Formats: sequence, C-alpha cells, structure tokens
Amino acid sequence: MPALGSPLRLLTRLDRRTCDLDDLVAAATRLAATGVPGLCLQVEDDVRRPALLVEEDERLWRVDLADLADELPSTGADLGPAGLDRALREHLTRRPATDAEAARRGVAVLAWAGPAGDDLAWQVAVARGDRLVGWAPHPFTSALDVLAVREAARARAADVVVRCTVEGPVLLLDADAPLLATAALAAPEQVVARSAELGLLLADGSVVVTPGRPVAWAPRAVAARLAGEGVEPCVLLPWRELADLPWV
Amino acid sequence: MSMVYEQSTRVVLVPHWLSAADRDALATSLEEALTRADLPATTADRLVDVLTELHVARARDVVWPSSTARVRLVTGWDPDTLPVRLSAMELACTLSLPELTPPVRAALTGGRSL
Repeated sequence: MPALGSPLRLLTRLDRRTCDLDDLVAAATRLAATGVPGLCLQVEDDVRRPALLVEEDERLWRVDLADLADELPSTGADLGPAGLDRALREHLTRRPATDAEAARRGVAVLAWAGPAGDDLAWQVAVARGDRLVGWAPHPFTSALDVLAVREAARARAADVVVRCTVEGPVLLLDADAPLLATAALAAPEQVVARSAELGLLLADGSVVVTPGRPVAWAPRAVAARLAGEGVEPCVLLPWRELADLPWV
Repeated sequence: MSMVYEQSTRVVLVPHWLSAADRDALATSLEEALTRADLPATTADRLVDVLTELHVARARDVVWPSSTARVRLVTGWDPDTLPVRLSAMELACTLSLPELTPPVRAALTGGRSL
C-alpha cells in the first residue's frame, strides 16, 4: 500500500497549466493596439492558425501564436493577462536583427554552421538583453553593405573586453557576457602579443572553441589533451586559421 | 604506410576524481620527485605530463562545467572535485613514486567513495 504522501504529490505533478489561445490572441491584439516603438505589429486573426506579424525596417517576422501558446506554460510564466503581455514583449526580443541594427551594434562571434552544424563560422550577432540574436543578410542587401557590416562587427569584436586567465600552459579567454567569449578571436594577434608578455608561448598554439563557452588557447599537444574525448562538441584548430573561417 | 586492417591504437585516458587537496598534494609530490637525481628520463616526461594534466583538468572545468557538475550533483562531492585524466603509463609512473602521500595514493587506486 503506498504511503499517503505519494498519490498527492503525483496529482500536483499531473496538473498541467495550459495557455488559452484566445487569451493569447487577445493579448497580441492589445499589444498591436498599444504599439511598440520601431515595430509595426499586425494580428492575423485566422481561426485555425492565428499569427502575429512583426515588421521592422526590411524584416517581416511571423509569430505563430498557437506554437507560442504551447511553449508558454513550460516556461513558468504567469498566464494572466498581464503575464501574457509580458511574455509577448519578451518574445519580441527574439525577432531577427535588421541590417541597420547589425551595422550599428553587431559583434562578430563564432557560431555553429554548415550542413551538419559542426563547422565553425563567423557570424554577426546583436545583443538583446541577455540573448544574442544572429544576423542573416537580407536577400536584397547589397554585397558592399554586407561586407561593411561584417568589417564593423569584426572591429567591434576586437574591442570586447576579454578576461584572460592563465591555468598552467593554458590561456582561458572569457568575456563578461559568456556568449561573447569567442569575439576575442577576431583579433588573435593581440592575444598572442599579450600572452608573450605574460610568459606563455602561444605562437604555435591551437585554440579550443565551443561557441558560447570560454575559449582555451594552448600549445598543440596540451590543447589536444584538453579537447580529446570530451562530451561537449568543440572544435580544435590552429589560431592562424581563425581568420580564414567563412561567414554565415 | 600502415596496412589497412591494422588498428591504430589510441592512448586511453581514464578519469580519476581528485579533490583540490588531493591535487595539491599530488602536485607537491610530483615536483619533489622531479628534483630527484636518479629519476629515469621517461618517468620524468610522464610526470611532467601529469603536472600539465592537473592544469588542463581545471581549464576543462572552466570551459565545460556542466558534465562534471552533473556528476557532482549525483554523487554529492565537493564543487572542487575534478576528473584528472591519466593514461595507464602516467598512472603507473605516479604510483611508483615513494613521495606520494597515502591519501592521494588511495584516491588514485581506489577511486573516490566520499
């Protein structure tokens, strides 16, 4: 006979909150009526697939409200009207970055790319709150503009303040925002010069890169030892090849 | 050029979970052993590799903290217990040192139980 405590605990775990789609559509309509500066919001009130269309400069983003209603209860957010308003506004920070925003604030970081998602590539990313949103060039953006945005992002990445920690023969590069840690690799020569001052010989070294985590820089054998047989996916490459990585 | 059917054997590194005190004691005894005059050169190379591995273990924990944090959550060990990955030869060279203190020797041979 099970103890009296366990069935009661099971009942609370089975209690699933659901987000009512009509409430979410009403919240979206309220948000569209209030308006957000810089964005043009429009609610597509289809019975089966209601959506919120967000238009900003040249980008059009479609938020499927049915999918959002499925996701919201698992985030633990409050599901009353005020909570839904807050959740919608917070979801708006995930909208894609526009060309103007990327030109003004984009930073070059390393990200997973390629068909299997296991190759590294440089990407221009815009920081929104505590999240990084990647920038994809619009099909109508001219090639010169794309190059200008990438160069500006690379220059900004070289300016990111990087914390260097020395751990024996390994140099660890970290930034205040953990997702920006790989930005330091936009100007690897600076790091090599700095490490020579600290007494480390990293000129022949390799870099262990995991996008979103601090970067480890060490001589080749030590870096291979660091990266070998790890559970997390990472890429080990000589630092001179960093500049040759493609752009997303 | 090696035959197609020959397997290239890789050195397997086995993790040994050592606390911070164990690691410090191990580093001290390794440094003492390296100053000895009658140490064979191959053993000295492997002891230097073990010293590097102690640093590399800390670097690994900084870059990828989640997998070791998961193990520590399940076993309840201290937050500064780290897996130190040693090959069989390195482990044998370390255990052959008379300077090794008994707690570290027990941690390296028996595995952690607390």
